[in-house]
Amino acid sequence: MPKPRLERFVQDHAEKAFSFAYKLSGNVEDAKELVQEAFVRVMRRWDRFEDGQPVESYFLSILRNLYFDGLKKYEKRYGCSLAEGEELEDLSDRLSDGEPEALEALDQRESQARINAAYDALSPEHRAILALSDVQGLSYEEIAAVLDCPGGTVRSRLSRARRAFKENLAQLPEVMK
Amino acid sequence: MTCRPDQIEAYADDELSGADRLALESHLSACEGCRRALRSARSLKAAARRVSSPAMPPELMAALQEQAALLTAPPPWRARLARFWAARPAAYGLAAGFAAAGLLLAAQLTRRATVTVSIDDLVAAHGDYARAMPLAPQDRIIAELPVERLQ
Repeated sequence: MPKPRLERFVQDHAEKAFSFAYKLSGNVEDAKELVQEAFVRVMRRWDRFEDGQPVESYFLSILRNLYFDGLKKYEKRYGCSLAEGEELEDLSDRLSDGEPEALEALDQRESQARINAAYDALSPEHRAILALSDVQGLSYEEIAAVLDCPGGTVRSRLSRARRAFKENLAQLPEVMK
Repeated sequence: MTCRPDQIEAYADDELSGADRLALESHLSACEGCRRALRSARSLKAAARRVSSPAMPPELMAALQEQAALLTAPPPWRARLARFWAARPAAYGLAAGFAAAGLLLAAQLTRRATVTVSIDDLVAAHGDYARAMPLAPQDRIIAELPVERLQ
């Protein structure tokens, strides 16, 4: 596949990059800083990329590395976006039992705040891999390129991240205290 | 096939292919427990997709596009030249005319430089030239001569 023009690459990837950066950092200002820095680094190397090289994976891996390199700074500012006073249904028991209907019900009816809170309570590593897979829609192979690890590791890490997400959803009343 | 809970998630992620996929699909049709596990995995994925983030600030997109344009812009003299041509389409014809004239002149000069003339012809041409020259202003020369040199 031929390498896109730089302006086109920015146009096509800026929104997704911002979404990923926000899901990592949890606030707009940090996400803006991460995205800008990651794009600057890609732009500096742009002439060295050749047709067929996975520029997107490289770009996302830069973004991720920037975040994890500054983890202490970003985590200190990570904001939980839970809306106060939101009515929450206690699904703890049903979710803990792995009852799919409870999750389906969650998918249909539960508030956005509940889902965001369960996600915010994840570790940075779990947030990163869930964002890459379920939000960005990358394949295992693409995630492996971003995280610089084997495909099998992606599978197991993703499984652990989802389990943690599910547990957070189940324990949400405690998360909210 | 026995239950393979480890494959359910990969199947939900569309990462299972070939024989593994066919075998799991066959198993799913017969196993209520695995069907429930698959529904659960899909619901969880759907919930993760719903994690929200705010829209990208427009000023960020503008700043990124400006940076990209700066990096891909040609050097200033090329940009000025490009603007010049873009603003003056008629100048293309003029420039082409000048270029053609230059080429013709160069060709002419080159041809002259390579002409060979015999020495006799050259002397004869000088003689013709001298004969054709206008006469010297003899009256004026005489008038300006010092008086002592006049006979």
